[in-house]
Amino acid sequence: MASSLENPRDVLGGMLMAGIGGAFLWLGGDLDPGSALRMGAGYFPRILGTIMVALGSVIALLAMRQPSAGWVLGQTPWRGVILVLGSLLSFGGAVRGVGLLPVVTVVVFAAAWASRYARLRSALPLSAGLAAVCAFLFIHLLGLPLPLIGPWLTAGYWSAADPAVSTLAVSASAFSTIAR
Amino acid sequence: MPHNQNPGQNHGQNLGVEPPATGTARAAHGSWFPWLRTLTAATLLAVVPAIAPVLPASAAYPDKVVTIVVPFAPGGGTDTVTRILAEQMSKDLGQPVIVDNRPGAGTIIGTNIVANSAPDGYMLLMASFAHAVNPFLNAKLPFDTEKAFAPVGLVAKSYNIAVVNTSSQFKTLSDLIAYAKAHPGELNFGSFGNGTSAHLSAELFNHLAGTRIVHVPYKGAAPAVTDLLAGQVQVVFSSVASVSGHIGSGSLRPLAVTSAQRSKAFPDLPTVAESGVPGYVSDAWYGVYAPAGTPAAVIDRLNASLNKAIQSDAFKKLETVEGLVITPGTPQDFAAYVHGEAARWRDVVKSQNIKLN
Amino acid sequence: MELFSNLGLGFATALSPFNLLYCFMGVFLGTAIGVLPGLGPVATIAMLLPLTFGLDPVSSLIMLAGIYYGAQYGGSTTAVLINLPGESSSVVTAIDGYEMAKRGRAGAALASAALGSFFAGTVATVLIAVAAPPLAMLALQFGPAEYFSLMVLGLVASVALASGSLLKAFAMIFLGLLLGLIGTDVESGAQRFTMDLPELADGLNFVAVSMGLFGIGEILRNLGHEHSRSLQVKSVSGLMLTRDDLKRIVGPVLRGTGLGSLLGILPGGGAMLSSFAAYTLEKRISPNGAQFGKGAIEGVAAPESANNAGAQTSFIPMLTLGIPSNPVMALMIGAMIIQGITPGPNVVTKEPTLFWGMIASMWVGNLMLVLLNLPLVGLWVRMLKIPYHLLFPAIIAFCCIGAFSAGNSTFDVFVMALFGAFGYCLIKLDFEPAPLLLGFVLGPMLEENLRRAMLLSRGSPSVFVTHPLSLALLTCAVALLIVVVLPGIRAKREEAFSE
Repeated sequence: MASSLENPRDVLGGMLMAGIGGAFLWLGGDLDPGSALRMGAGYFPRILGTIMVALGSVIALLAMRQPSAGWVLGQTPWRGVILVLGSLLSFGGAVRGVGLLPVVTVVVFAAAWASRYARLRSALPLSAGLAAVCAFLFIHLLGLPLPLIGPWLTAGYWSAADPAVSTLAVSASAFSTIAR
Repeated sequence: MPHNQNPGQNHGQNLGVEPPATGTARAAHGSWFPWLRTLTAATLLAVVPAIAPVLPASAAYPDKVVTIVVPFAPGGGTDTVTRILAEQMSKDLGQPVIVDNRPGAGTIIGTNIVANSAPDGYMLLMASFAHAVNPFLNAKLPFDTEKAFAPVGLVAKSYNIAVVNTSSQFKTLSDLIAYAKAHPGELNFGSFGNGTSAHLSAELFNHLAGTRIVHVPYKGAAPAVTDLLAGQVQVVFSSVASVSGHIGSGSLRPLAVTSAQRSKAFPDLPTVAESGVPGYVSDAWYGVYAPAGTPAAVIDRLNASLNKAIQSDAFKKLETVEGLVITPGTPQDFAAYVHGEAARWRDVVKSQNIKLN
Repeated sequence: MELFSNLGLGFATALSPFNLLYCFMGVFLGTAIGVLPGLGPVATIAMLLPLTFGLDPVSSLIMLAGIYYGAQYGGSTTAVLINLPGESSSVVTAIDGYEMAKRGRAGAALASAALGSFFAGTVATVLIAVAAPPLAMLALQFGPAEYFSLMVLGLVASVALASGSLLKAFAMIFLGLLLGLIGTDVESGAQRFTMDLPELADGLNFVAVSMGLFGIGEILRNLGHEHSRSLQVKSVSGLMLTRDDLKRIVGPVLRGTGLGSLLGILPGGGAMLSSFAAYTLEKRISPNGAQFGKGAIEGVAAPESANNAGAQTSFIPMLTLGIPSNPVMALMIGAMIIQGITPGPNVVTKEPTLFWGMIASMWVGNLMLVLLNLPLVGLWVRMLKIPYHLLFPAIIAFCCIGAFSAGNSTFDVFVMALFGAFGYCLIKLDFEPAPLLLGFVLGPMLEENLRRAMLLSRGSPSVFVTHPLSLALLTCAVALLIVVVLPGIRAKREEAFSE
């Protein structure tokens, strides 16, 4: 229990925790609390949320009481954060449509540039190789229900008159326009 | 026709998820983007010609993998039945039939995926008890149970067994009814969760027998049966597979089956109706649906294959093990049966005031 | 003497070439899926179930069991190497295991995990052979009130998983409990905090949350420290354990095995509790307690032994009472029923070949796992020499597929991304995520058993103290709470005095 409440990191952390507790209290406001004897769906959340607000406030207050030097959050690798999270979101959004093989290639390639040491000559073979390994391992051996190459990449797909599809097609072309 | 469809994808798109990688990734850093674009383009160029010649629309169904969505996690009763069905059907259809588990939200997630799939016969749903009762338990379903599906066929009916601990004072169902009537609100029944067959079977019993046995919900069969063995709850209206082992080993005592007729697996066991609750019937069932709008020819092909599969030896083995009653029939038979079930349970749900939210 | 003839029968069955082959296939497959994040033994066994119908029941059960405890071995590998706990039991291993790996001691961590697990597996096997039926009765002694008290004890104990501020550790536990509330309320069926998303109706997926908080959070953190070049482990010292290491892990392995064997018998989370109960115990009593959280080998050996012992003894209620203590056991029961065997007290007498063959195969399988895993340690450690900028995109790809495969749902990939970002914030704010995960896992069970106990007692809270077992557990929890909180308060007071 050595290092403990130094700030302003802990002021922020405590406020975050209190805020999360408050959010749960607010979102769970319409749940039926029932009674102590016969608890409803809202009873336990209310207790937990209240304790969370209290804990967060104590952490923040204690940290305020003993100010220390400077902002100690350190730097944030914004490029890395955006690329890594972007890769995850892209995987989730596209894997069923595009298929495992292309999506792993793209995701690995994009994620690789989150590092400052990324080089084209290493990122290209890495993404291609991993895509092949994943496709073999997860689809061929383990039978994961994912397409190797998804329906979005088939020729006839984009002519389908599905409104959701056309929206996507429009947004995709919009993206490529912006890219240019 | 099949090649320009996208089985199972509409769901994801309707949720408004991210466009493919290029969009999100581009936002991060400009300098490397051309490479990514080149790569994507290259992938597209390499892939499209390879896929495009998959033709033509007149090709006989099925010409690719058929998926059956199971709206439960792997390993449960529905999952086991589906896996064996899929294995048998793929022999007949000449294409792989794979099982895709999409568990959650009391079958709503998996069911919704099929409701929004292309009606081409490549995306099917394994429906069960919950399918017919969900409309009365949930105020808002994302699909219309009546209109969104085309029936393919009933796989099997099943039934529940009312079981008590062997050390229990109740030797027959009449004992239980007599005690419960004399001591209202004292006994507990365990269920496999709100709105499950184990729950509603017991509520129907309460309703028709005039008893007040208190509902104690569990997360699935295993913990409920464990607490029955430990004596925490006094009775469970359980599926056969979950208790047949304990009945065989003598740790649980069966009192009655919930079906209209006595079962093949337990010929000596009376039905609930015979035991003093006239009119009581509670079936569980498994059946296959396709999305509404699937061509009749495809439905007929699937129905024939399904009927063949359920009469195979591998499937018959489940008759005793899982307590199945195999009932071959047409899609119309299936639809009529489920309508009847739905109407019956709607009354139970209303009269017992059962709600999920 | 009867025991020896029984074990003789068992080994004769387990050592037949055919069964040896299936045992090996099981443990090999188990190790493989354990190493891959996401895909767990439940999904694998379910997929293989139809294939086992044609097999001899003994062979198929030997293989399925092998997958299960093989996965426990494999799971620790990813936890140690890349801080990616794919199962709740390896969350604890990741804490000190990954720290050891960062210090170039991944080999020792993996070796101690393997040896500890083997020892635990051996002891647990003997225990099942000697005393399965009486031990099984323990499982039936635990009603809702007892489980509630056990969960309270578990939550208090999980504070010890954090090495920083006590208040922050409590905040993390409560945050985990709150996150565990998301989903359908078991009792009333009400949707809680699901924001009308059907994907949230069954709650957040553990694998997605865990891989986000630990795996993705760690990658983001490392990307911030890339310039310091500490990421690539430069020197990997001794693959094997030193004499000093061995001396340090003997006690933890013994105690971990004992705790794991006992808790593993309890259905519903017993085996999972065992790994961090062992960690907490060691942190309290070890002379190297201060090193915990900074790469203490005891912090790997104890939970790994406990978790393997628990995995093994969780077979006891299944084999003797027909009670599945976790989803894997439920699948095994399904496999037995389909083979025409009814699990329960009769298995020992009616199917002696199956019962003793399976027990013997567990030991054989554990031996195979050690022989398979010790040479692999070298290979895994070499993996750490891959430059980090090549390793982490691969981890991201495996995480994505792993999160997806956990529920065949892309929603879980988004959940992982969200918790990756959140985990990174927590690291920045100096909150440790391990207690959060345990709160997340235990929370739903805590509430469920609290409410079920109250429902069964018709609203009388006295059940928690009138049941002797429940009272004992609650007393332990209070005692532990005092032990945990007092030093902090005393330190504060001394600080105040010295000022």
